[in-house]
Amino acid sequence: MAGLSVPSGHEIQGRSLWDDARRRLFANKAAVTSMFVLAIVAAISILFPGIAYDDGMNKVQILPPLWQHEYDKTYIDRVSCPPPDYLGMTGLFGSQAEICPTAVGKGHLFGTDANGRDLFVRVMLGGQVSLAIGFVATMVALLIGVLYGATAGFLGGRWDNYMMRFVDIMYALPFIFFVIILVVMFGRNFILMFVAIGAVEWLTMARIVRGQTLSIKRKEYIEAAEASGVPTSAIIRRHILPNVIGPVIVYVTLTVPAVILVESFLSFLGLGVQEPYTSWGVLISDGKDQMESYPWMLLFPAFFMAVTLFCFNFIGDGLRDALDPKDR
Amino acid sequence: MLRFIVRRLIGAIPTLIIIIAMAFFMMRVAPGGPFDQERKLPPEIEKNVLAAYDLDKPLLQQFLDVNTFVCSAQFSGTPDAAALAAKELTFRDGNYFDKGDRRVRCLGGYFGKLLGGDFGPSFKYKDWTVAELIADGAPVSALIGVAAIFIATIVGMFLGTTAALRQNKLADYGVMTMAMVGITIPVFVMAPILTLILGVHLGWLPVGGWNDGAFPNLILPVIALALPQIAIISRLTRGGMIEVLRSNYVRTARAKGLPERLVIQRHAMRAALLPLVSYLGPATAGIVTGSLVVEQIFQLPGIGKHFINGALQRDYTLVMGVVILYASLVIVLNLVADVLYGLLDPKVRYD
Repeated sequence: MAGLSVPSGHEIQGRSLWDDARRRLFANKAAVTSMFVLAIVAAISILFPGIAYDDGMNKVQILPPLWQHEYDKTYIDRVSCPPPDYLGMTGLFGSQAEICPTAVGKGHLFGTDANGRDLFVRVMLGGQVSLAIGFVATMVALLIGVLYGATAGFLGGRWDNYMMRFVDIMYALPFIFFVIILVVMFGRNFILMFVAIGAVEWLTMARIVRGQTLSIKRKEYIEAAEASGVPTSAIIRRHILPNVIGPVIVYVTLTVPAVILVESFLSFLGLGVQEPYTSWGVLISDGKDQMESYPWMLLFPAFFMAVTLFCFNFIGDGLRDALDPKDR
Repeated sequence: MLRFIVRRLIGAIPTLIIIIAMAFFMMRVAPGGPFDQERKLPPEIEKNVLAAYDLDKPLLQQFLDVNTFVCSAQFSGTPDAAALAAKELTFRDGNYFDKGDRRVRCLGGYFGKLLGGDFGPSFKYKDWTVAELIADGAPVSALIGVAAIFIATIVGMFLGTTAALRQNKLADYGVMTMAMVGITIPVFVMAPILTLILGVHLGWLPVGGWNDGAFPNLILPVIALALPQIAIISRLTRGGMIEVLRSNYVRTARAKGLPERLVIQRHAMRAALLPLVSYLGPATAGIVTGSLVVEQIFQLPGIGKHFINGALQRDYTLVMGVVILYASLVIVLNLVADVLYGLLDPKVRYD
């Protein structure tokens, strides 16, 4: 029995569910790398266009870029094309230099877009919008989904049946079509985009939360807690919430890239964010039109979007492995 | 089983009606109409135009109306005296009467006519009905969609099985990395990049266009459409296969000396396919959504193009037609998936 005795002087420190999860998550190299990369992308998207960009006139922007509504007017390099030489009369038309894209490197890290705007700044500004839509729409989905799912799960019985039947019906709808109709018919503003996309994504969230709530409600450890006199609020706080939150966090992480995809899908069809705002989807769509002559216009935004989506997916997978003890 | 199918089909009817009603009212309630122009039409002409398309009635009557319309199967547009005479009908007090002076009752409004199989005229493509437009574009969309799903299933199953049989080896990691790329990178990024490499730089394939369905023109769109599905299907197959390979009956089959190929083909494959079958519904939805983009990128004359243009131009009936078609497709394929699942998995019992 010696092996089982607790050495005196050492107090055994219990490990909580979350400590375990955190340890497993940080042991996952792909997830940690992704978090790091994502933090960098987010940081330069948010900070860089605003604080540290020399737009050619040595003017340093200090405002956070989202509040600069006139950012469109800056960063334009208008003297990138030689003036066209009509009929050998150089100088006659010389003052009307055309705007044309500059290649990578010539004073512009990623070159410029078709209007002569610095592509690096555009990609970062697009990143702000894409990430913002990703997070806000996911929060909308989270709010609706958790409320709906938890209500159905707690009520149970007939109401649960009706509520989930409704979700089933909604699932059968080709929702992307409704988002398109909404966006086209009611104009393209940010708020609508958040709501429309959030409204698409809440269904799965509701199903997950409802399933979790239902199954946890009946677990023995809840019964045990009740039997040993733990107050209801503590049961919800200590036992139900942590167990519901796990899968929800995982799903949230996987919803953000899905939302970014939907947004860029809409932008790609020309139904998304409008000038002067931009998003990765808009940039990819613009870049596609120019790709035969100026491939960088497609490749840079596509690269940034792909990296971001990769990161979210790896983090989501890592979180799932970390939080779901069944798959260990 | 038959009872199950019938019950599901009946259950699909309210879903479809909800879809139709939602799409209809969302579009009509929205600001802007199909005949809004920069220059305002003279009021009399505008009135006539709206009347010709039933847009002058209250919203509910536009959707469903009883008794005031003659079936559109009998007439297109407002019946004149000659057309009435040809059908041996008379018109009085807002009703139509046949030879025996019995009142002819018909359902009107968009939904009413839809029940009679009439999708209505397109608002923007003059002289075209929605049915004609859809019939025109459907072969294109169907061809690339079916080809993509077919290729995705075969390639995905092959890759997934390969990965599962060599779990945690190089082939497995290779396939899974590819799958991750396929899932993460959206069609509208993949398609232009493929075009850039294979079409523009190497010049092997045409960059876009339909060209009457010439084979080289099909390759890029189908690949672009299939890639994300290949990724998902290979993941599903790998997951299902790994689980099945650990099961007792596979061990038994191996123990009795069955060649590995037969173990896979006869025993493992059947069970490993189950997750795949239930993916049929979502796969259809994915292909449909993807085709919107692919048709745009490669300039194909399919249905997706009509949907986007229709929505932008407030071509109500055209948008409705496409939504109804795709919704029915998704619903039916979900049902097919459920039925197939039941046939393949003896554990599933309906009722």
